[in-house]
Formats: sequence, C-alpha cells, structure tokens
Amino acid sequence: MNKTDLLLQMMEQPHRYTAEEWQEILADDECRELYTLMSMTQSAVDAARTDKEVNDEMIDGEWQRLSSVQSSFQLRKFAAMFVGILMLSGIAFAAIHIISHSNSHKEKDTVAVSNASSLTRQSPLPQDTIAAPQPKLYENVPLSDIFDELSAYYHIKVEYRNDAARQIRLFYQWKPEYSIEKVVDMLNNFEWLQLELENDTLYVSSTVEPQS
Amino acid sequence: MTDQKKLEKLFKQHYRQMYRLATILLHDDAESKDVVHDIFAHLLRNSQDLREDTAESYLLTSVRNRCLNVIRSRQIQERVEHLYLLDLDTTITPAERLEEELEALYKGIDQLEPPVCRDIIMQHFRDGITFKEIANSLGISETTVYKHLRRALNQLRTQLKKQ
Repeated sequence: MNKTDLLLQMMEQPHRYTAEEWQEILADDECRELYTLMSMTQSAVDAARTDKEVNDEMIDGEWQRLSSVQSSFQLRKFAAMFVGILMLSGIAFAAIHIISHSNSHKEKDTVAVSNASSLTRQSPLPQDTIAAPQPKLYENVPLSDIFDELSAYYHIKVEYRNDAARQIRLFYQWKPEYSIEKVVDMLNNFEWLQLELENDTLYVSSTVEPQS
Repeated sequence: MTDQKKLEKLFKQHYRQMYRLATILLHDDAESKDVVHDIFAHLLRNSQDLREDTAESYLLTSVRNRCLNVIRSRQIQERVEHLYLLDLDTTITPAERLEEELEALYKGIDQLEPPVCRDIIMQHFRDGITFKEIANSLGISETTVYKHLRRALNQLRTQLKKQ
C-alpha cells in the first residue's frame, strides 16, 4: 500500500492511530499536501452550502436563541446576586431610624431600636415615630435615581465623575440597616462601578463606555 | 438605540459572513453557530462601544480567533477527523485570497472528470459518506476509491495553481 492510501485509510478512523503515528505520516510532504487539499475542499464545499442554507429565517432564529439565553442568563445572574445580598445582610439587624432627618420632624416619644452594630451615626436627638424605612428593591433603576433617594437618607452628597455612571441601571436590594459604608462596599462589587466615600461626599464613576 | 437593538442590527448585518468563516475553519454547522452565538453573548453581557466602521473586522477577527482556539484545544486525531487545517498560523491566508481559492476549488469540483471523481468528492465532502461506504455502494474496492479520489484532488490542485 502506498503512503497516500495509508493516509486515506487512517483518515477514515483517526482515533485508531496514536498522535505519533499521525505526526509521522503528516510529516511526509506528499501526504501533507494531500491532506491540506482535502481540508480546503471541505472548506469550499462547506462555504458553498452555507451560502445556500443561511437565510433570514435562520438568522432570526439564531437571534431568538441568543436573546432568550441572554435573558435567562441575566435572571440567573440577578438571582445569584440577591442570594449574595441576602447573605450579606442577614446578620446586621439594626433598625436605623431616620435620625438625621429628625430636625425636620416633630418630636414624639419613641424608642430607638438599634443594636448599633453597623450604625455609624448615633444621634442624641429624639427619634421620630415614622415607621422604620422599609427595605427597598431597585429593579433596573438608573443609579442616579437610586442615589437621589439614598443620599437624602444618608445625608451625603453624590458626585458623578462621568455621565455614564448616572445611567447605569441596577438591580439592588437596599435595606435601611445598611451603613453607607456597607452600601459603598456592596455597589463596588459591580465590576463596572467605582465608588469612593470621602467625608460626606460619594464619588461615583463607571468603567462602562457611554452609550449613544 | 439601546445596546440590545444595536447588537441585533450588527448580528443581522454580519451573521452570514461570520457563520461562513466559522464553517470554513471548523467544518461543522453546530460548532460554527455556537462560535457566532458566543461572540454576541459576550457582547451582550459586556457592552462595548462597537463602531460601525470597525465592527465588521472586529467581528470577523473574533470568529477567527475563537475558531483557532477551538482547533488548538483539540488532539491531532480530532483535528484530522474534522479536517482542520494543520498549519494554522502559516496557512491561513488573507480573507480575499482564501475566498478566491475556495471559489476556484468549488468550480473545479464541478468540472471533475470522469464523473465518478466528482461523485466521490461530493458524496464524501458534502454528504459525509465514508470512503468505505462509497466503495460498497459503487461495488468497487476502497483502493479504487482512493485512486479516484487522488485523481480528483490532482485536478483540484491544478485548478488552485491557476490562481
């Protein structure tokens, strides 16, 4: 049997031969050329078939497949994030009252309930009786809207280092017992967000390119 | 336009070319679909600012790189099984040259003589029928099939050299 016959026979069942045997036969110029020619013939036949087979319907189908996988990926991602957030927040139980707001509230008798574990702003002022703020779920809300609310709560100023940062939409579960430091830590877990707290100002920047 | 809309437009605009390049390199429909799919899934997750004038070359380069990664990750036996090119970095010719060569080859297949040469090429490369099965169906020996095949490939090589 000549060597090209051997090559063709080997190609019928490639897995029956060792890597060394393959290297040996493909080191032969004539065999290598024959193989390359067959490889290119396969490419030519495949390209021609592709040209015939690909139509708008198939492209639409592939886009559907992509976007459905994509939304379930996002759901999974957010689900995973919520679990993470729940675990993080499971321990801190302090009910922080809107202490800093109390200047503007009428004084009423109330009991401050706090274990103070994560509380950084204790106030000597009387507490208000407004029901403790509820945890809030921000669903796909622009960052600027989230911080409009949180900055009032924590009495901080928010500065955006770039515009893209304002428009980033987040799924974020906020709880009143979180200290601002904790919120900053949590949001810094988003890879495209960078938050720094200096005194009473929060600097926010984003690594995402602004979208038109 | 939102990211998703933008990407949908790019997807519909460039799908054909991307898929075509992937099948040329991988010789496998399902794997080629997955390559294009993965590139766009990546883009959907990590929004990047793709400029319209550079999108095409970016996308085609991504296809090429992903396909080469697939090929490199395979054992020699699997490479042969899929008829991948052997010398990846040296033999992958520029896109235009490659297109010319593939077109010449495909035209060459049509002109193969005698007709049995053409039939063997089409049955094997288009329909995926093994040489042994072809031999059985034609009632000839495998060695005779190889002889026809070599004859066919010689004609195709001549076609390529004319390029």
